[in-house]
Amino acid sequence: MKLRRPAPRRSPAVRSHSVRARKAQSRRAQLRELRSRMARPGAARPGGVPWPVVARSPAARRLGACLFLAVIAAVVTGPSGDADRPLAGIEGSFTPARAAGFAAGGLALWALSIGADRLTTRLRSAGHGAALGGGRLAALGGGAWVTPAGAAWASFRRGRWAAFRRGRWSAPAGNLALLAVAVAVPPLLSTAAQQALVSEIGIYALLALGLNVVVGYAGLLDLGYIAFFAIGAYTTAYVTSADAMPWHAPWQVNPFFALPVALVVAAVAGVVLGGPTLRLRGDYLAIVTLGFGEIVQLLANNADGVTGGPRGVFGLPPLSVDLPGVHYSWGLRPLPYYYLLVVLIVLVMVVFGRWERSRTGRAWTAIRQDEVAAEATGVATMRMKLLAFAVGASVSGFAGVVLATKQFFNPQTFGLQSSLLVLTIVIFGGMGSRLGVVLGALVLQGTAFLLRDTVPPADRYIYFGAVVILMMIFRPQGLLPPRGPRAPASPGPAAAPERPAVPTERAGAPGPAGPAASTEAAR
Amino acid sequence: MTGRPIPGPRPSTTLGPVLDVRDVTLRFGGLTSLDGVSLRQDRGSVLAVIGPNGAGKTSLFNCLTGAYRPQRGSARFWPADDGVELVGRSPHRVARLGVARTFQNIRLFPEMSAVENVQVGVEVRARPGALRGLLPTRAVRREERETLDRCHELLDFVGLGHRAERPAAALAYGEQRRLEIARALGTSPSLLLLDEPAAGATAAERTDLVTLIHAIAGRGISVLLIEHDIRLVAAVARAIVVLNFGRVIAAGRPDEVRADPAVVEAYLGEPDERRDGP
Repeated sequence: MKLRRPAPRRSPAVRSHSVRARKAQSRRAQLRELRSRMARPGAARPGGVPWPVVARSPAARRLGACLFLAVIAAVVTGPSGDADRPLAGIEGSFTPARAAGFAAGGLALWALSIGADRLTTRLRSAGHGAALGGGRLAALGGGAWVTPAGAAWASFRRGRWAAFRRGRWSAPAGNLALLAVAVAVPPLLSTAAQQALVSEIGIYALLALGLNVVVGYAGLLDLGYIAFFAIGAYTTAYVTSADAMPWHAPWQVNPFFALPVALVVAAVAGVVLGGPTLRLRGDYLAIVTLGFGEIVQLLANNADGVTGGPRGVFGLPPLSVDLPGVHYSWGLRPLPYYYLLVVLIVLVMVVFGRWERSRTGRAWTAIRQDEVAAEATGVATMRMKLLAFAVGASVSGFAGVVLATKQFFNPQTFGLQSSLLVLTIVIFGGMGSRLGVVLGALVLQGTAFLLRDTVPPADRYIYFGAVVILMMIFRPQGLLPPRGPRAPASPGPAAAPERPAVPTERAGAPGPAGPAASTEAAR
Repeated sequence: MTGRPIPGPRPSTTLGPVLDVRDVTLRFGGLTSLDGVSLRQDRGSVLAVIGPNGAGKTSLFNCLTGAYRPQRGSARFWPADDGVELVGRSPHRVARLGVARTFQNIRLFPEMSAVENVQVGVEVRARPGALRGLLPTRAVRREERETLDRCHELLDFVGLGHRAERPAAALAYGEQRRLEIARALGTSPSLLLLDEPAAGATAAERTDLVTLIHAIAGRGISVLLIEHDIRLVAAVARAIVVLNFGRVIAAGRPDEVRADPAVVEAYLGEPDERRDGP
């Protein structure tokens, strides 16, 4: 399986033909069914409308989905069964009171979603006038008239705000605002939250940024990515401390010097792994990298005399600056590490932003979208894929340094679960989008942190899974998908591919490969 | 759309062959796809390879571009006065030597815009160094601007100037074919391999394609063409090679080849007038 971004939806003009045909067909089938049911009077429902037609209406389907969600919610929040009475959990979840409550919740959700739909439809139909912005605001306020404030807001939206959004300062201003939030908010949080910000969100955001290069830019599925994180962390232990691991460097350096060392070591490890394995594609690459991740973890676990084995590594010196006149230690509090992570993340994001728009980034995109074509166009695919591996690995080497100087770690820190977690963050946030994967780390890991105190540990992954599944159903491209090529100003019918009218061709033919083959057959 | 010269360095115009394929044999297990194929192409000329489905035309292209490695034979290519061997090189090296190709089933980078598609090809010739784009120095910016200018010129050349910012997947079918040609031209080739460029094209598009191929050849780029449409082939190619079951069964001028009984029997299979053309 090669990870691909979900293709952009085909424009309605493309689908209309086949969709219309399918609709006509299903309508015909409905009619047939209707006739057959009318022939057997007992089968029809009292209202005269056959059940399947009712069930096919969008509102009914949505009702079904809402009630289904309510059932799931009831089961998940209910008591657990045990080995003797496995069904006790289910029974306990549907006591009359609970059943009524969750059914009401499901109905309310349904009513809300239907209402929201009606509202947007009405706003859209009224939206061509100047009152769009004001109308929406007024509707939120409960009335359908345009208030003076609403009118002012509408003119602001159309005038200055739109100009600002189009202008060159909107992106930097937005980024600065986000950065300001990232800098200003954490000191107000509890220590536990700050701790989570460092070791669960920040480090994983950095890891996700690195994996994003491999998966999001170059389209290589790497399931052993966490191994480079481990290599970064153990390298730090090797060069900064004489007693944390049985094996250590002959001289110890300030942890800051571990940053470049870990970067180089992890990048070399990336090339060493990539050299032989990047000739493989898709599934095979995933399996081999998975194996690599396991090997590194097992080595760390079993090489007692080198890594300390399952006991783990602790007592590394914290990060510190010891320049003449400047002495500062990061110590044990989480906040200084948090700010260091913010600096690293911003740095990595800026560098990668420049990189993804350079020809290296274009070569990666080309490889992701069609490796054969990229190679035939002269892109040195092997070298570019190795570069992606090395770059991704070096970023996770950075993350390893921060982890090692901040806290205790042992081989279990680098299990398969962590690898999958980073991959989930990348997919969740939006493959190929830097801000997206950082937000993905914040949302996913933040959810896990918030659930920690309220949900029994065994249930936590249910919620985690639910968040991911909902995301994949309703927004498969991720939280903040990367921006594609600038869309044309008016994607009207002209944007639809006008393919030659060849009888074997269907609008559903996948990609450009279909028509060529079918025209060949038709000629 | 074809009045302008192709932007970029012009290939060498000295006379002599640009491609000399000798005795290329390609087997997949027990299946012989190409059986001792030899052909020779003059610099600046248009040579067409025709043959029924499964005759080995695309296999030949894949051998020339490094996608397949034939068991026997050689393919010498003269980008300049010195010849190089193509067999045994990886596809991107072949492309960098100056052999560009298009695909029978269009292979663009679907989510990239038209101009970015061409950019990938043009940047193959850019100065090496993956880290070079990281600092927006003046030299880097100038390079990027020149690359973009060249891409837009190439898009104008194939008649897609007005579609530059469209994603490739949103282009019409014929436009996608032309974009593939522009991307191939972006690598500044001396030899361009076109794999069924007219497949699925309308009559008007075929006429445009003939003009386009003439314009490409007129600028000193040799064109090797796979095509089924015998009228189109006759309009652009001075020489035709006919393949069947992996063997060259005829070669020569279009009128000679069309009259050749072996060709009529193997490939056309019916009187010429009955074939529907545009």
